[in-house]
Amino acid sequence: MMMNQPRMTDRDYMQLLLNEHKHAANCLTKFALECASDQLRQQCETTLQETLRHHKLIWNAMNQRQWYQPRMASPVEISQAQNQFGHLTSGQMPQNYGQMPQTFGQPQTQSYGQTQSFGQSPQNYGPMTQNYV
Amino acid sequence: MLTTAELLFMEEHLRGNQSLTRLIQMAGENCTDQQLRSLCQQMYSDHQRQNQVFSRFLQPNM
Repeated sequence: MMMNQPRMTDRDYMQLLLNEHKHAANCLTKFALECASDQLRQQCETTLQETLRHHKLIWNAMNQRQWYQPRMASPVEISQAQNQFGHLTSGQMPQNYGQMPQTFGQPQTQSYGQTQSFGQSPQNYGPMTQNYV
Repeated sequence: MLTTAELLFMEEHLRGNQSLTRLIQMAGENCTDQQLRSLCQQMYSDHQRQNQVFSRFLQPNM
């Protein structure tokens, strides 16, 4: 017996396209970073720019229709960030400058050197579209 | 000539972009809003061209 599947709305399609363009932009950035060929890297950069442009067009279309309205940061949240990073505006260094935060640097330096991330990301490419296309 | 990394990313990009092109086509056909349909048509031709350009890098003379 056939079940009636709910019809996808315009909003559903736009949300999917927005997500897929975000994902494509991430993948193209990784692709460009792995290019040895200048010509291929240039093509990745050109395509990335076009992908970002598409993303903005979709974002604008959704925002105009009130389908995508990001939550604004509250004054309290901004104030907390100002307290934490306000010294950067004046160019002054904090008193603890030079002491590396324990969380800073450790994950990046390990993964950059080992390049374990390479090869994993392509396998994840396009998982959302597989459900719909 | 492509490196192994370039080839891997190229294959994944072409696969992903083909799926995305089909999704854009489907959205263009099924959206009720004319503005959105028009946006999809525009993006569809861009993505088709992207597929053609990238696939040329797989040709032996590139």
